[in-house]
Amino acid sequence: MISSKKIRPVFSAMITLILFVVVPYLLPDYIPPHINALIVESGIDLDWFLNQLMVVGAVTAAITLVKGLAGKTSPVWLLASLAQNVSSLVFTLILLGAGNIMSLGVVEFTMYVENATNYIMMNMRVLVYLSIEVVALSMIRSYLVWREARVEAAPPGRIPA
Amino acid sequence: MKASRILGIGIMIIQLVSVVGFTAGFHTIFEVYNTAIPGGAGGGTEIEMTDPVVIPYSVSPRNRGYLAAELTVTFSLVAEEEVIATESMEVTIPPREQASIDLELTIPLSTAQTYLGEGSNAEWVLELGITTLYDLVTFSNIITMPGGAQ
Repeated sequence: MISSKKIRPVFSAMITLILFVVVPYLLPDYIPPHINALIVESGIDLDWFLNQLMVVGAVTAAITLVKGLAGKTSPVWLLASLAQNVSSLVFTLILLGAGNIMSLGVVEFTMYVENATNYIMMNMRVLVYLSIEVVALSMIRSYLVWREARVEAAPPGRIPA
Repeated sequence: MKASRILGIGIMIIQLVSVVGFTAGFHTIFEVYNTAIPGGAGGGTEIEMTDPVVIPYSVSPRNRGYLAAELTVTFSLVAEEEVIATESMEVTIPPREQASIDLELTIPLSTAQTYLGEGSNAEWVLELGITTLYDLVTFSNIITMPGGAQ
């Protein structure tokens, strides 16, 4: 019989896969034609944007599975946890840059409606800085959790290396 | 309490504040922008050929959001990359309040006849800049429309 300790990581990875791979894959079919036309006019490459999200989603799902199956005291758990934090930052950067990761939260596009040219710029760089801060703190936390688990698992009187 | 748990709570608080700030900022920008765009600016307005020609631009943006917003509106007539006339106004709209923006472009009749006549390549340029969340989130929209008679 499969233990719940092994079912949980598989379940978490499945949820990640559904949210960040299956949903972006199916999304274009559900976008109304007029919204789709606006996206095309704005110059945002929706396919490229969704492909990036799906790639990061698939990587995150794999990391979630590895992390869940590895023991908390294992170095694999620590590496997977750190990688998970980095992938969440990449995901945020893609999302805030509307597919352009290098824009660092500044979205720019131009639309042509009838005779008018409409240039739009949105600066959300502060959220990128906050995300970087959260990821840095999360990495420190991952290390602390791993270290605490090793201390708890060590026999009495032994200090883990 | 373990150090990792304390840090975890701190991270959760930062994430919560970010999400709330982000949502409130977006909502404020959306509300102010929606009411700062007029039914028709420049090209859509009937222009009276008096001397000087006065082209008004009036809007009453309302901030239905929960954060104060700073709105900058610049209205210009531009031809061949040269600014013929421009006027700008900056207002701070507190949450749940409304502001009034009245701009007037004053152009000598001869200049107006040159640039607002048929076949002219002059353009109306309307720039809207909205900053909120203590100047941390910025939105900018530049609308360019043909200025000459079509």
